[in-house]
Amino acid sequence: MSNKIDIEILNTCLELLAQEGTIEACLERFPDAAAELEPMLLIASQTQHVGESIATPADAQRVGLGRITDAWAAKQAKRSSRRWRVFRPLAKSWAVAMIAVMVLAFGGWTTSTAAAGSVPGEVLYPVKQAQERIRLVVSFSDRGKAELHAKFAQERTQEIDKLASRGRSQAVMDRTAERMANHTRRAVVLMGGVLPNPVPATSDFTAPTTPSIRVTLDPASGLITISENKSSRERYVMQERFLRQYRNFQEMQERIALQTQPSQRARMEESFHRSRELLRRAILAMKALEESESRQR
Amino acid sequence: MQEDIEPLVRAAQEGNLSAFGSIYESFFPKVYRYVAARVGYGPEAEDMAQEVFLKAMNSLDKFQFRGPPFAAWLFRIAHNLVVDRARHTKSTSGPPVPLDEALALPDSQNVEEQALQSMDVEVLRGALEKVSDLQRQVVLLRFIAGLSLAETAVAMNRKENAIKALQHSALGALRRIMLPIVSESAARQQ
Repeated sequence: MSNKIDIEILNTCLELLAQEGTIEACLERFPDAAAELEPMLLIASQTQHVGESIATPADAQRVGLGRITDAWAAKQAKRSSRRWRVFRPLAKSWAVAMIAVMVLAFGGWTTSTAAAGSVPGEVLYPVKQAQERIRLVVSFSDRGKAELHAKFAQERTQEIDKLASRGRSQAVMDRTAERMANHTRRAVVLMGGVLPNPVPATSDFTAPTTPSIRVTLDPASGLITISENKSSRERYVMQERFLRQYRNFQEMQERIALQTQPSQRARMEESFHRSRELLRRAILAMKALEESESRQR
Repeated sequence: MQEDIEPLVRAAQEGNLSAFGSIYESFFPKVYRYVAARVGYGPEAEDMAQEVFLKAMNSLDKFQFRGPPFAAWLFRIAHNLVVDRARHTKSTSGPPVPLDEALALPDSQNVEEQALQSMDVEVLRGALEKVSDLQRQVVLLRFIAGLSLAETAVAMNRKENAIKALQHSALGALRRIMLPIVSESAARQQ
């Protein structure tokens, strides 16, 4: 053996170490190279140890996941809009036919109305989901889709409220909250906004000072002040939906306060806070969008 | 590893966000360590590690299982990002945050152990600055990010034999640089 350790021997030992082997076992296996091998394996092992001891910043990891979720939603929305553009001339008649099938299959208007009041886990809930999907299909403009998503987000909030008061499982409520977040994200993305990651609430809320009315949002409380602006009527409608969503949360909060059973109350609170955080993010996104447009103007 | 990750990658390619989330959760710490060890610790490293996954997400459709292993593919993105960043911000970037600031040491460890651990990190950081770029890269991929030989070879776009030779020369160089310092430190500790 030369005084230079054979490249293959070193690699064999490194592979052994990677498979939970020990330095001692390697040295026993290659006794002639042990003197040269040992310090190099020690360095490799120490380096590995140093690498493992480097803490991953949990905040950064969480923020990254938020960025990915937002980018993913934007990508899906773009992909979906590209796909439907091809079928646009046919889609309307196809959707009308689908609605006709739905009406026939599910017993007409009465069933549709009953389905509208259903919550996850109920027999008619899939009908409600299908109705929502159809409404999204027949709405071709981004603006129209955004409005629908905002409306469905509000609908999900009301469902969470009902689920909580009926004592349904946390998993069902969480899934509904996730759907609410997805609708909200899509609404924001379709309106050209980028959903920012949660930031600490600030007190930068400024009341409208000019007669040209616009939307202002208070990220601390989540309160939206809406004023008329004919040029952004569609945004006004969306903001109104978010405001109603916010009011639903207020009502939920009142119901939680009246709940006397501790376990039920704890579950309602958990669901409430989770959903409200998702809403807060959407509100911040709208605020960012407003500010960006304001700068452009 | 490749076998474990394959179903997740396939699901993510089909549009499953939660599958991509699982990939992210499992690879983020390794990618972060790799990026941080190359550019220094702080918000920039965090941002770049996130950027690696955003780029991976956007190119996921192009990833093929017949090609390089997923980990190697991901670290190639990380490597390219680091190289691009070095190219663009060489003259403007400030000094990196010391490596030991990123270490999470349990509260129960005594001060002496903390000092020793900190010394190890400092020694490694200093030593890595003195080896060649290829040697540094192989050490970071193999021992900090924990990639296999095959994955490292693909990530660095080199043959496995070349990686074996590189890791040999890198560990030899580190040994020459680090051993006197570590021995001196150990003697001081005693």
